Amino acid sequence: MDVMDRIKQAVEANNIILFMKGTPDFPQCGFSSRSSAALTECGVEFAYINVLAEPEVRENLHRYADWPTFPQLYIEGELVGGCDIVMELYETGELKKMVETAGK
Amino acid sequence: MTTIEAQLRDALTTLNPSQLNITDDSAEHAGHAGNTGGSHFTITIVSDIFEGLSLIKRHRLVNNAAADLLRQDIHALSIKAKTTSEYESNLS
Repeated sequence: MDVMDRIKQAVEANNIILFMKGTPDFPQCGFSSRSSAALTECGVEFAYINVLAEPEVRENLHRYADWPTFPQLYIEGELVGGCDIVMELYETGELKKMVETAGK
Repeated sequence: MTTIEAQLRDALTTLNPSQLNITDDSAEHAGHAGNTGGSHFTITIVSDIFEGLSLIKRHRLVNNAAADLLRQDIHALSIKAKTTSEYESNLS
C-alpha cells in the first residue's frame, strides 16, 4: 500500500492517534514525550505510530496535513496540532473534553 | 541576538504582532534523537490577526511566516499565539 494511503487509513481507523518519535512508554523526543503524557493523563486509550520505526511515514507525514513537525495528534480524522497545541489544550482542560467526546 | 533569531523576528513582523518574545533554547536540545543541528526557539506572539482562529490555524500562520527558516535553520519552534485580549486577561 502507498504510504499516503497507509497514513490515511491509520488516521481514519483510529479516533485518537498520535504520530510520535518513540512510544508512550519510551518516547525519544521531549515534545513527543509531553504530548503522549498529556493524553495518558486524560485517561483515554489512544493509538500511536512510532515514526522512528517507520521511516516512510516519517518522510511523508508532513504532506498528509501540511504540518511540518512531530508529534502530530489527530482526533476523529482531523489534525489537532503538535506539542504546543496539545499542551495548551491540556492545560485549559479542553483536551480532556475533546478526547472524551471522541472516545464515545 | 543570533542572526537566525533576528531573521525570525523579521519574518514574523508580517503577522503584525503587538508583542513578540523569542527565546533561543537550542542548548537544551543539543544532541537529542532527531536533532539535525538546527536551532530551537520558543516564541510568544500576540496579534489580533489570531482573533477567532483555532490554535492550529494560528500556528499555521506562524509556521507559514517562518517557512523559509523552518526549512533549514530552525529545527523546532515552540509557539504560543495569543490575541491581545487573551494576553491581557492572562496577565491580570
